[in-house]
Amino acid sequence: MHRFRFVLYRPLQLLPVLFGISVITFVLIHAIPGDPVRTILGPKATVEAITRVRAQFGLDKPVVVQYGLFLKNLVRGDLGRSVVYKVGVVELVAERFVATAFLLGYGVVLALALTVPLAVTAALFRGRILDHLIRVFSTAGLGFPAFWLGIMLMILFSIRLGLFPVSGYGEGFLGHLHTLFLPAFSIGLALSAVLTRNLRASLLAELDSDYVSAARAKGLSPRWIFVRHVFRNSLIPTINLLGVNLGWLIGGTVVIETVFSVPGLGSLIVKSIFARDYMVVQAITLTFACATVLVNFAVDVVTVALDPRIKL
Amino acid sequence: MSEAPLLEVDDLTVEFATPTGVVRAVDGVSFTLGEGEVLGLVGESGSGKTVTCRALMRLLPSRRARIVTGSARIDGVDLMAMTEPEMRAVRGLTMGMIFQNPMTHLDPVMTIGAQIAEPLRAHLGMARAEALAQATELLRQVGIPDPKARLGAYPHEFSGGMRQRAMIAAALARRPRLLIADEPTTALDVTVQMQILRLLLDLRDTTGLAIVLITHDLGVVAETCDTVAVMYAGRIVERAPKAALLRRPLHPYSDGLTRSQPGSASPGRELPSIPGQPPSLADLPSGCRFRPRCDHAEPACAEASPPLVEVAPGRASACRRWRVLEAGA
Amino acid sequence: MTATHPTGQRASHRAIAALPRRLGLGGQPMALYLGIAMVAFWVLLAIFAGAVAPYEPNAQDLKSFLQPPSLAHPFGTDNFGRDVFSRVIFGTRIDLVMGIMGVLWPFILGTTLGSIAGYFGGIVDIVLMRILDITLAFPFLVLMIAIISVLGAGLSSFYIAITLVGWVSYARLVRSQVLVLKSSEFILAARNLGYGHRRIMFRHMLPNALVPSIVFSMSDVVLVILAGSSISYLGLGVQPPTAEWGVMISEGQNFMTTAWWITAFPGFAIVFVAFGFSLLADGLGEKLGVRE
Repeated sequence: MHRFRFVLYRPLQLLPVLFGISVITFVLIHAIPGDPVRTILGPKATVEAITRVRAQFGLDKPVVVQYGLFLKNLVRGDLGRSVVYKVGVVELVAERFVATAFLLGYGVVLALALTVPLAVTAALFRGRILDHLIRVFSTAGLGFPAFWLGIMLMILFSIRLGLFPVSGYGEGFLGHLHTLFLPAFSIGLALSAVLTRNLRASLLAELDSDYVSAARAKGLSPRWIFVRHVFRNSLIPTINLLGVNLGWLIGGTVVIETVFSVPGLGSLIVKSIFARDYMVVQAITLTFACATVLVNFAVDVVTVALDPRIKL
Repeated sequence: MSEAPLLEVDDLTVEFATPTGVVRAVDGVSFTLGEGEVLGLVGESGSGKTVTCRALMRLLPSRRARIVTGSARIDGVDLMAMTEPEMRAVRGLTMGMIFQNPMTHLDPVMTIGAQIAEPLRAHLGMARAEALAQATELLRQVGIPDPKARLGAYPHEFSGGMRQRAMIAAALARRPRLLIADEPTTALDVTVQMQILRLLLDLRDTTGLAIVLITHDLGVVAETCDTVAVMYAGRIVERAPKAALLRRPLHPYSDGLTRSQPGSASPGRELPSIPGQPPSLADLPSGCRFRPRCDHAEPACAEASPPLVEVAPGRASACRRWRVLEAGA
Repeated sequence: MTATHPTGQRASHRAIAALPRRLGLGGQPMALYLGIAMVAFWVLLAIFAGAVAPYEPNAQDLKSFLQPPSLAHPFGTDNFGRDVFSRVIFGTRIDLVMGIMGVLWPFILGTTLGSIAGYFGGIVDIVLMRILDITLAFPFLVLMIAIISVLGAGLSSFYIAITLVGWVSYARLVRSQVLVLKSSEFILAARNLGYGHRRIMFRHMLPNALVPSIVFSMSDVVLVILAGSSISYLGLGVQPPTAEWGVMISEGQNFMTTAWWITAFPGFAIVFVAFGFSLLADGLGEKLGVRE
């Protein structure tokens, strides 16, 4: 299993990136004009709070020392307090993390559920009407703003037809599945437009491959060849593309959660920006960045698992 | 060798739809193949040798290619008349095929063992363990050392020669009686080429496998074939036992081929070559297709294309002036 | 740090390109021509918005507010009685400019940095790749809104944010092209002739290196328009009462139960503009032989 050796080395390579993320997040907060104490505590701070914060964050000291203190606090799990919600930021983020993660996972599952049948149909009916329709859909779909799609779906299915709730998160697993269906579907539909193009092109390229001829010469049936050879080979670049797009997706939850009032990290960061709750903004940015890095890592692992030719 | 031929191809004709019109890539090709016989199908690119073999396997691109006429009988049953499901039953079981570039003809993400075991699992419904055991045995038979350890390897981990051996093993997994080998050694190193050809001959000796070997290299023909059929512009222009053809070809094209072999020239003298280019299949010359490049052409050659006729026991030529060549021009 | 692997596949574009021909649909350039036509339509619409739109975009007519689509108001009116049709048309100006500017600045920044890194290599390249990795670690939109939160909401903040975030794609594309071209024969010949670095980079290398970037920029316009309208929707970009499509969708959401047209039509506009640019990107890609 030496192909997977990179799993051991990668965390070391990621350290500079994580370091860089923390620097940028730190810089962002300190770039905000005005008194940083007010930034952290909000306009109604008491004198003791101000003194405490000055000490904790070393606001009189040089920037480098401040960064050091920031890291120290980070490791201790202290990212400050939310001005709006009056609780520790870490607590707040942890609470809302699950909703966003659920929404994302749900969206990816729906995207794949749409992509695979569409791409396979397009490839098998290559050149015919169905293929052209699917191609038009996927090209046009690239331009569908997910937030607008969400609102349109909301108008039709929540308001007119009353099939789904307009907002929220729901109770229990099935409740989540029901309540989050429309937002996840908006994400999934937009994502599937991108993935369908890629998977279809991949399938067509693989169907033309030499090894398919060789497999036919062995007397294997078209269905066997498609499932066991063509599909597996085609999936690899598409999974890669999914990984590349995950950065976009995670960002997309910001808008979708706002549209559907889902109590996740995305809607929280927007609210926090307007409320000048900067500690929260910083923490969520940090969380999203770390999540992206981890997910990319996971995608690399999956890609290596699927394709024995790759050495990372 | 039994008397009745294993494979009888009669007047096989294949047309392709191209942007410039309909083209006959294979035009009235006929030959026979007996059990355990190695037939060399020789010609330049575009001569129709690959298309002929793909037609036999019915592996032509169905949208662009059409088998116009002709038959190919194995054990009396015509392959051209079969439906696709019937053909699928024949492929791999009665006839196998190996290809020129083993790297691209093997699935890069599936293990070698799985690809050899595949036909056994798909058609015979064998369980995975049993199929892999058979695959191990097949790998051993094609000369791959330590076959059990190799089962889990991927194609890119093998050398070119080993990949070709693996492909042979996969093609022969269900013990077909006929193997079509489309330039199996062209993409390999010279030393490896000989090993693969030797392997094919060994398989013929031990199992009675009949082989159609496509090649453009007369050296390969000299080493391995029993009989040779030379193709030019979609037709067979000469058919003969190997030794006879190499010693005294009876068609100007085969004559040109043998003369242009490096081994046959005298040292210090320029190596002869056939002047000109093969004709475009969309724009064939009138009469004999080789006429524009032929030293022996006479006016009658422009009128009608000479048929392939038997000129001696076991020999056929499509040149009306074959006697000139026989006399030793 | 994403995985790459040897494909050994034939270009799928050949197969796809042949399809319309087989159907007698006129052949390969169809996507390109249709894309050019659509984009040209929108550009002309933006230029002649004043002539085409029946009303001023911000003209309020409180007597006829929240009217459904009719002959007088093809796209209906919003809660201020403003004609949605006119607002969508004038919005074309804003969104198109947003798309083009939002591609131009990252293009310039990314190409410059990418070609320098690729050409000079060494420590410069390593540093650039690290910065690239770090920038890529942040989800696109999240980093943008974080930057905008610092700078304050508005269109110029949007441009700064997208330049700081979007340069990455161009840098990568140009850098990989430059790396390949660096050891190509015509560049080696130029070096042998003693041409200076700057001349080689600008006159010889860049024209070739830019092709994938130019093709990408067409589909990037789509991404930028989507990002821009999303950010405006959130209230962090273009501000009301300006008639930008994202802003209109946000305003319309408050009335979606009774007046669906306020959110629907701006969205369709986005979809069609994006479709035009996507076709253009596809057509251009096929024409110039660039794989996705």
